Amino acid sequence: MTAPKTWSMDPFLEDLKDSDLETYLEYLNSLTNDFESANWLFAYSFTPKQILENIATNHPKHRINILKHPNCPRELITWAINENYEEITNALISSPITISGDELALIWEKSDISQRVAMAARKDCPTEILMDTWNSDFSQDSLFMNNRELAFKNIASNPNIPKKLIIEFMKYPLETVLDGELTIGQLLLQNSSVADETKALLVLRGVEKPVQVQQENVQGQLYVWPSNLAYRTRKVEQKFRDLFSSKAHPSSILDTRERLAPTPYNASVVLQYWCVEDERIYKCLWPDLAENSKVNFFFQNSSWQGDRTYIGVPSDLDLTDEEFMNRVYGSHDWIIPNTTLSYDDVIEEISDRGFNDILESEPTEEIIVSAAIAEGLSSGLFSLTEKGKLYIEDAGNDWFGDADDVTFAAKVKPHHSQKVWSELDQERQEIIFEIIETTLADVNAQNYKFAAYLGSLIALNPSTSPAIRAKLESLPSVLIKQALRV
Amino acid sequence: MSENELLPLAKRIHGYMQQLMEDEELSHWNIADEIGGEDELQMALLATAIVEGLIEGSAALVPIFQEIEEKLAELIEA
Repeated sequence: MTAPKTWSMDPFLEDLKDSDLETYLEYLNSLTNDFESANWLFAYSFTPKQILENIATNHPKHRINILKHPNCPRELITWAINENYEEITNALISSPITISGDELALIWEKSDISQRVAMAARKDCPTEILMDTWNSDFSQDSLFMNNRELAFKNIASNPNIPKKLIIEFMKYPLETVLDGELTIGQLLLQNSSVADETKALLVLRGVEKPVQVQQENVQGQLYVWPSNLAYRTRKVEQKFRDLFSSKAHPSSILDTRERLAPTPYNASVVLQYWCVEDERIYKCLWPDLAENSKVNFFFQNSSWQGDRTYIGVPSDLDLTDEEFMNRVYGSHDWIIPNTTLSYDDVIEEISDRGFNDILESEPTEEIIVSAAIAEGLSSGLFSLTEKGKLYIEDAGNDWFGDADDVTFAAKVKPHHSQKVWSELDQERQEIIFEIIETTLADVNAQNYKFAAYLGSLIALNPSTSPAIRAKLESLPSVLIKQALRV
Repeated sequence: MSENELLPLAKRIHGYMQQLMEDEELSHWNIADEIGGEDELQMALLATAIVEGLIEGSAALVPIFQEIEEKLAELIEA
């Protein structure tokens, strides 16, 4: 099994498709009856048309999402055109399936102004409809709903732009930024239907080609491959799990009910899978660490970064690099934050923010007095009484209890859904070690730091055997060596 | 001046602070602005901490508190 070209493609499912089309369709069909599984099938861009047809038949509620799928059945588009629900019209307008000009005209007729403007972004939107959209009534626009600006953007970038509108656009200040992205001039410069002479004129008037930024953020794609569903929903026949496990599916390593693959696992696929699939690897490697007195767990609530739990070790073992992925996002029943702050926690929260920051946040008398004390603790001007300590602790819990970006101590316990490292058989431990070892052999490997982090978790684990510890020692990772010495 | 002076001094500062906040409806922020900044406000708040028994101040606080008291008194008079 080679690494997928993009993480959005399920290499195990696509491999099955290439080798055994019948079983591939049988597997996908077995998932279509389950409402939740169907959710993941239409989220997968490569789900074939006939499977989507089955989902649309079995679960009418999913039709709106199927309309947005690149393999959406044509019959569903026709059905949707005759429906009069706002959500269905929105889905139709955003459908990647080509829709004829006559059909789009029908949709346009029953659409409101924002839907008409959105339709102007479709590359198959006919010139006449773009013209009608240009001439629409935008008098209801407000500061928060600027349909006119969006219409300008969509029309200026549409290849079917009416020629007379190109002339109209040229009368506007070309440097006007539309919808916070490109300028009118840049949109016209990018439009394939704008004549070369006009583009030359745009350049003469100072329009510069926009810088193309294309980044694939695989970490951001919290994607579930359809093949994962064989392991997630146990309703699926065992033969499918056996099939994927035999192809070295990453789920078979940590799910101890499943057979291990006879062939080596692809380290790059497995690590990437552990990054994006779910918190299973953490469920396996974290709980044993509670037995190591040097390892602390912290839970930080944050509305902008997301709630996260992470490990901290008071030594030179620095796990703060984002690429280590030393965090589990969200709340989980196997992670228990202690939401009562100790005196030391409160002092830390105050010093993280600083007196001025607290002063600016309309503080209570108690927290601002506490902040004044905390700031002066090392000044030698006073000493703190026991009463003062309790006062600060209470004030801090009242003030920071519901605040954002507060760090609490947390406990992590084993979860019934996953065996922890110390319970894994030697073979599975060896496979995890080999994945780390293979990745660390290439300093440029994707997820190199994540592999080092996982290695350091095993090194910190009190139950790790001397044999594995000796192997970890031989790995070319400073982080792992530091973890072995904690 | 000695530590014996500290508690009465702290009480007077605490009294001024209460007066400014309750009668004049000034916020901590406003008071900081009026008496020279956040450092001065911090010292004024330490006076409250002494009155409440949260900290035990040293004699080194006396001259600092005197200065703060003077500023608060001026502010109230103004």
